[in-house]
Amino acid sequence: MSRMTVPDAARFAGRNPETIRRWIREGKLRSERVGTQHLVLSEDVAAILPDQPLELPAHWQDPDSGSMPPWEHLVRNGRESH
Amino acid sequence: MLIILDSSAALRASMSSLASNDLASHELIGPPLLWSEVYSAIHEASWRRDLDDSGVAAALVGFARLGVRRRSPHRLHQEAFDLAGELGWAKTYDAEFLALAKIEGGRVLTTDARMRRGADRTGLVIEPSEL
Repeated sequence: MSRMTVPDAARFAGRNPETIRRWIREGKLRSERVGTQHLVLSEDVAAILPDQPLELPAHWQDPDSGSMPPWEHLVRNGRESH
Repeated sequence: MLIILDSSAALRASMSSLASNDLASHELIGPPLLWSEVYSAIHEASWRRDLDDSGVAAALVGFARLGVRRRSPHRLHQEAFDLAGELGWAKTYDAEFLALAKIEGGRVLTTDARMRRGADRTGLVIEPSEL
């Protein structure tokens, strides 16, 4: 397990540090207080992030013809339904 | 670079010649699970009418043209089991790709945000913008 400070968690999640602190206050995100800092686990941050897609280059988003099926959703559903 | 193709990245590259060009200079390998997932996802996309017949054919041909080589080292499943435990994952499917990267000394290329973020600390996963 990897422990992160709030600023590190914010960078990891692409969110404002205050959002991370709010998640901690609201009990959505476990934290451990070490001195003046809250430390969180990267896995916990990843688990509560919405399934926001990665920012892909345009040519990875657009197929040669037609439209790109929701591949990440299909693969993810397959892995989680077994 | 030795690249272990995650199924999501393989499927996108199968349908985009420009994306597959990004992979042309790399050695591509995958665990047996890759083929099961790619064929299943293409079939499901067709069943959901996200792909018409020509799209299905293009995806299957595109995947074959990627030239991914199947690798199944004898330690693959135990390594995946151990990695899933270290990462706190309930299942080992994602971990199979990571395990192959660890055993073979490559990097997993994914377009799946959950795998990218969930395995970030392993240093084994990259996304297309890092090619």
